[in-house]
Amino acid sequence: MDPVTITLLVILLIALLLALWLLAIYNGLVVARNRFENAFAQIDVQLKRRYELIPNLVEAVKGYMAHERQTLDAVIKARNSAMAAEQKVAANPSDPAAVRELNQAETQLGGILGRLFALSEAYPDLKANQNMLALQEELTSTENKIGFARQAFNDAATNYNIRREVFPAVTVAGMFGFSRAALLEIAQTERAAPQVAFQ
Amino acid sequence: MASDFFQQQDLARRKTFQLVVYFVLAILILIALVYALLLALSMHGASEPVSGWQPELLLLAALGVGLVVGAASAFKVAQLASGGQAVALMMGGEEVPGTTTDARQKRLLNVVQEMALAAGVPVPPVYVLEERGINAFAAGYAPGDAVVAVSQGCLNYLTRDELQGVVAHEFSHILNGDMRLNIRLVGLIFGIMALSIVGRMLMFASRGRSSGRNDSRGGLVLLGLGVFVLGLVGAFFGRLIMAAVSRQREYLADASAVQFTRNSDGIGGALKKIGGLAEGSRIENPQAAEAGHMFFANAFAGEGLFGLLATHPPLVERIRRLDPQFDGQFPEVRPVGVDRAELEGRRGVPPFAGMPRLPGLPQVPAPVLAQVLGFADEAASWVGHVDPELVCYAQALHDSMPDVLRLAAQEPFSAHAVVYALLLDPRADVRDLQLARLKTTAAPQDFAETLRLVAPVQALPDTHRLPLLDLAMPALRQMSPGQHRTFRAQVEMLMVADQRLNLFEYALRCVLHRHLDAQFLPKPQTRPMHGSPQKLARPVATVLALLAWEGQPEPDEAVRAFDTGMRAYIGGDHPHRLPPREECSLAEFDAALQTINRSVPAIKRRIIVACTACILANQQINVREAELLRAICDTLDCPLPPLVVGEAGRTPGFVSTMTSVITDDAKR
Repeated sequence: MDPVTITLLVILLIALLLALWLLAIYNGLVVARNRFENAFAQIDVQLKRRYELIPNLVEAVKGYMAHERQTLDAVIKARNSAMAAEQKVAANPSDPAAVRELNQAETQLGGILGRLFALSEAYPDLKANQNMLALQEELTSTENKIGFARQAFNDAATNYNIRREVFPAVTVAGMFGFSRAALLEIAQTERAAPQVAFQ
Repeated sequence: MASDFFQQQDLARRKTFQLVVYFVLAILILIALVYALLLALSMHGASEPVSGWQPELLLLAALGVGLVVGAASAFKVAQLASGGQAVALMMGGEEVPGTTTDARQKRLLNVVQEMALAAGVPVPPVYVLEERGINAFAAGYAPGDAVVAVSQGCLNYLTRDELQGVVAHEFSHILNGDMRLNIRLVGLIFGIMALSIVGRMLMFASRGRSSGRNDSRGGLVLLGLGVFVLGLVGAFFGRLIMAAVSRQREYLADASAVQFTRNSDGIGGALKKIGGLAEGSRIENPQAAEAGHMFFANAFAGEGLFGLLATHPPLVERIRRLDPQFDGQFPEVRPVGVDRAELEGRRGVPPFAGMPRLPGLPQVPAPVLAQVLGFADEAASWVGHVDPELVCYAQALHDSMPDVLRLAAQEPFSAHAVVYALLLDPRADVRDLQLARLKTTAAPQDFAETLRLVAPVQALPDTHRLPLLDLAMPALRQMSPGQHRTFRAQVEMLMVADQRLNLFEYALRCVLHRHLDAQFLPKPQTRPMHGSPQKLARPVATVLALLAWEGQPEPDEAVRAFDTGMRAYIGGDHPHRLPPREECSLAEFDAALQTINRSVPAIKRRIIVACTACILANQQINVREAELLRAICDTLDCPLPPLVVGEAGRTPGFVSTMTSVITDDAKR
């Protein structure tokens, strides 16, 4: 056995360990990505539930708020575009452009719903309507569930982002197209809206 | 019972040990062969004769083989043992949210929930694989971190009964400790395979090298070829052994599935549909390649070398064992629909009539020690078993759970509020204190949700409290680590609000810690150390003392219960005395339990027999004792089916069936 051969053997051994290590990093990234993509499923169910509730809400207030036609139309429009955005994200939660679009659409929907609830304050009959109360209650609880699930999603996505940016992983991530995950950040107004209803 | 949980666990452990011995032998042979190879090459290259004994070459061979195989096996085992969820995610599984609106997914969740409640384990997370074939797997290292995954094909083509058969098969793997065995096997084989990869690398590396002497290059190519062939041959024999073990475990799981559901048409039908479906049980995901043995049926098309390498027995053979009349004609397979009754499980099982009788219930009144011991022994054989009547009972439990709580338990946000509500004390003053603290420390929406759930939770019969926690477990697992930290702190706060930990709180904490911490705070695996019952007599006495005092307020009765338990454990006279009540604290109990946990399965069995005997000494089980027993079994990783089956609202003191039967008979 000459020294060259032994050196080569040692190098090969190191190469093998390195390959195993890279494989471990790759697998870790796959798991982290699948984890946050899975976390979206939880939000998805609740978002869908909310999109189902909104037409019912509009139906319930229609009779009382006849001259707020514009607001009601805007609510439905915002709901439809949010729904379209949600479907895109559900198809591929690691697409940052789709997530940003959903953020925007949701913020808009939240704002317009907030306006609707603020307007409804002026209609005492509406405020006493049982159907309306039940819908508001349901929307609030769905909203809370979305909030909690969104926090879990963002934590998982942040964890993934950190994992892919740490040194050896960042090279693996570049090679195999692990792109940065976008977070679900929906502006404050949306979260405030149902709380108006809650008081 | 022919093969109970503890024997199976022991068998799985012994099998693992045997395999490790084989494996060490295989490595030694490999080292010897590589040494011979190196020696031959150095003799070939040298001009003068070389000695046949060259320690440095042996060292090189041993180090090289040891490092490659060791590193590669450790890598694979670590990857697969990192929890069932990680494995399911690797395979591209998507978790089914508890709030799913898809009827087929809903049905799957119901089937898994019923099976878990019947087995007395927390409901595992359920994953769906985007695969059109019919297949499924269970992954995880222990019942605590197990997951169940089924293919979309299962959902599309199987009826509820067939789905139940498949799920029961997977539960059998979980309960029999097969997953751990599988993980180690896969790791070992991957290690040997890595050797052939190194051989291939050697061949390529020396081919590409332009410098260096000619014969050295030729030698390296030869060495590479040798190692490559050795690795392949080694892995081949490894696979042969593994496939043989795996096939036996599959037959066992099929048989258990029939035992759990008392319905051979379910699992038999599922297997027949695999035969009839064009996609069969194929799994397309490339990540599945190394994990073929984890699946319900062959994940790959070929059976390889006359079936010797097949991870599963031939389909027809499996079906014949379940249905001897099978003529080999597979049915044509069409997608099945889901109707309402089927979703709820009314059709699959015989209607549930009244209170379930526990399997093997003694019909004779028996206030004598021998009978109590006999019954306790029988109770221990239910650990890790599912009985069809228990599945019925679990369905009834599932159905009698108020909708508001069942829905809340399946969704992460409300699931954690469910746990808060469970922890609220029935005494108004303590509850007010707890709520006041929760209001300042928890987010307002958490507090509101908890308040919403207080009334239904307080109205819940005591027998439903731990099962509700079991139902909430998959949703709780979906919290992020940050959310879990907050949740854990709140739970601790609520528990100690009245300055003392009561039994239910302790049991709840055991279940929560056991199953959530496993995911969020990975702890090193402990291996069994204690093999002699005598050495554990002291901690067992500590555990029995608390059990005795919890069940019997009267000192004489407590002494008798303690004595019965100790006798069951030691098997005769013993020197231990029941310590006074003040000296029995939950802290000591907990410490003792942790010590006991590191014992071999055969001893765990004796401990569970002893605990059951202690509880049964006065022929009554109250809910406090049952909860404590559940905590003990959970900590020991021995899933105990729900022993206490109280009739909600019949009497204020929750009477178990067992009690009522025994006392009814005694009156006669």
